[in-house]
Amino acid sequence: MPKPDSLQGSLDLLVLKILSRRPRLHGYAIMSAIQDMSGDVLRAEEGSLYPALHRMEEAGWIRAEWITKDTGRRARLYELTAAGKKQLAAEESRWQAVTAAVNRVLRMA
Amino acid sequence: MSWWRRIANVFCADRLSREIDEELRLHIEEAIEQGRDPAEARRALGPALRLREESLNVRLITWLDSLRADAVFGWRQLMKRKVTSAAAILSLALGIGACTSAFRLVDALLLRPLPIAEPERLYALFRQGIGPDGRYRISESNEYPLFRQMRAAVKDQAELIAVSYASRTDLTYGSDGEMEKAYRQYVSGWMFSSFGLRPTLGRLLTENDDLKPGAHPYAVLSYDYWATRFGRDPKVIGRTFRIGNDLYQIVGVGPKRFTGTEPGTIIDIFLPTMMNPGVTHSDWSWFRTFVKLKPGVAAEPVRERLTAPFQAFQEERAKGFIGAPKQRVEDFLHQKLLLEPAATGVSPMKEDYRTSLAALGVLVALVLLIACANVANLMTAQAAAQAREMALRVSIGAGRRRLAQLVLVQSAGSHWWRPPSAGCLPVGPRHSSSA
Repeated sequence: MPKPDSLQGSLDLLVLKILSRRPRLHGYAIMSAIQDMSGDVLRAEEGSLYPALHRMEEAGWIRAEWITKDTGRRARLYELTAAGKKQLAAEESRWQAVTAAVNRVLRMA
Repeated sequence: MSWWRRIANVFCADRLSREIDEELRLHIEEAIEQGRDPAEARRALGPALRLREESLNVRLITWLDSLRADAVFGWRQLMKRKVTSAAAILSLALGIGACTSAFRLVDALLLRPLPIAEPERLYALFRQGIGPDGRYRISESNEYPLFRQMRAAVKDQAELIAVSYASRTDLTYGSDGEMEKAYRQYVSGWMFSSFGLRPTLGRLLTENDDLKPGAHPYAVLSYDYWATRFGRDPKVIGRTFRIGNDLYQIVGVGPKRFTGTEPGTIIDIFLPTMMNPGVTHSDWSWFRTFVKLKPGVAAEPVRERLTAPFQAFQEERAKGFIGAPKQRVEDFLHQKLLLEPAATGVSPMKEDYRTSLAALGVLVALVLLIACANVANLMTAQAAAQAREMALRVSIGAGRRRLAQLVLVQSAGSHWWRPPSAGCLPVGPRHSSSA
C-alpha cells in the first residue's frame, strides 16, 4: 500500500528542478538535495523516489546512465532531457497557479 | 521510451531486475556512508521487493511479460503431448488446406469479377425459347448482321461487344513445318477501350481495326501468351504469323491480368471480328454478345430496345425456311432476349461445374468442421487433464482473464505450427489493456 506522501504531487517537479540545476545526480544525491535545499523541511519519501525516477525515465523526461566512479563503485546518474525541460516548465507554472490560488483562498477566508 | 525498447525489455527482465536491485543497494550503501544507521536506512527505503516490482511494472508491459510466460508454458505443454498436438495440427492443416484450394477454384471460376473497368455494368445477351430440336434452350450465339443492327439501336444507352468462342487453332511464325497451337478469339475492336484496358506493349485493337471485312490483319497477344511463348520479348511487336492463308501482324500485348471474358480459358491471341468470314453471313451464329451499359442506364429498357431489331431479323430469316414445319417457324419467332449480369465473365465451364463446385464447397466445409470438432475434442480432453492445475492457479489468485489468456496462447501456439501453404496465419489473442 502506498504510504501517505508529504510531497504528494510535487515530487516530479522537485526532481526535475534539481536535475535542471545540477545535472547527473544519482538517486541518493537527488534525495539529499531536496532535503538540503528545502532547509530540511521537505523530505522525499525514499521508497517513492525510485519508482518515480523510473516512471519519469519511461516518460522520456529524464535519462539515466550507469557509470563507475573512481572509487570503483557503480552509480546510476540521471539527467534532464529536452522533453523533461518542457515538462518542468509546465509543472512549474501549474505549481505557481495552484499555490497562488491556495494563497488567495487563505487571504480571503 | 519506444514500444520496441519495452518489448525488448520483456526479454531481458532479469537484467532489469538486477539493475533495479543494484540501484537500491547502492542507495543503502550511500546512506550508510553518510553516517546513517543501516537498519534505519533500509526501513526508510521500504521493502526492496515491492520497490523492484513497482519499477519493473513501469518498465515492462506486464501483460506482454505474462504472454511470453504463457507462450513458453504452452510450448512445453505441446511438447508433453506430442501425438495429440500433432493430430490436432495435422487435421486442422488438412481441413484448412482443402478449404483454401476449393475456395480458390470457386473464386476463379464463379466469383472473381473480370479485371475490367466497372464489371458490374457488363451484361451478356442470351435468347431463350424452343430450339430446332423441339427442346427449350438458352442460347448465347448471335449473328453478325443482327449484331450490327442491335448495336445501332442502343448506341446511346449501351455498347455492344462481340466476342467469339475461344478456339484452338494452328498458326505459324515461320514455315508450315513449324505449326503450333494457340487459343484464338475474335473480338470487337472497341472491346479493349470499352473495358478500360491498357496495353502492356504496343497498342490494343480499336474501332478502326474492325471496320471492313478482311481488311484488318492485326493481332493483340494476351500477356500470359507473350510471357510464355516469347519470354516477354519487347521485339515481338511488328512480327507476323499466319493462320491458314491469312497473315497477321502483332500490334500489341494486352494488360497483365486480362485473359479474355471466359473464366477457365486463357486466350492467347485476340483478332478483330472483321477477320472472321462470319461477319457477312446472316445464318452464322458464332459469337457471344456482351452489353456494356452506359452509366445510369438500366438493363430492362435496353433489352426492350434490342427486341425490335431482333424480331425483324428473325422474321426476315424465317422467310427463308421454305418447307419447314409450321411449329418450328413459330418456335423460331417466339424466342425471347435475355440480359444477364456478366461481371464474372461467361463460360460454358461455369454452367457445367456450378453444381459440382457447390457440392465440393459444402464437402470441404464439412471436412473443416470435422477437423475443428476433432481439435475441440482434443482441447477439451487437455483441459480436463489440466483441471487441477487450473484450480491451483485460481487458488493463488489468477483472474479469469489471465486463465483465458493462457489457454488462448496455448491454442494459438498450436496454430502457428500449421504449414504456411495451408492458408493465412491465425490472428493471435489480442489484449488491449494490461491483464
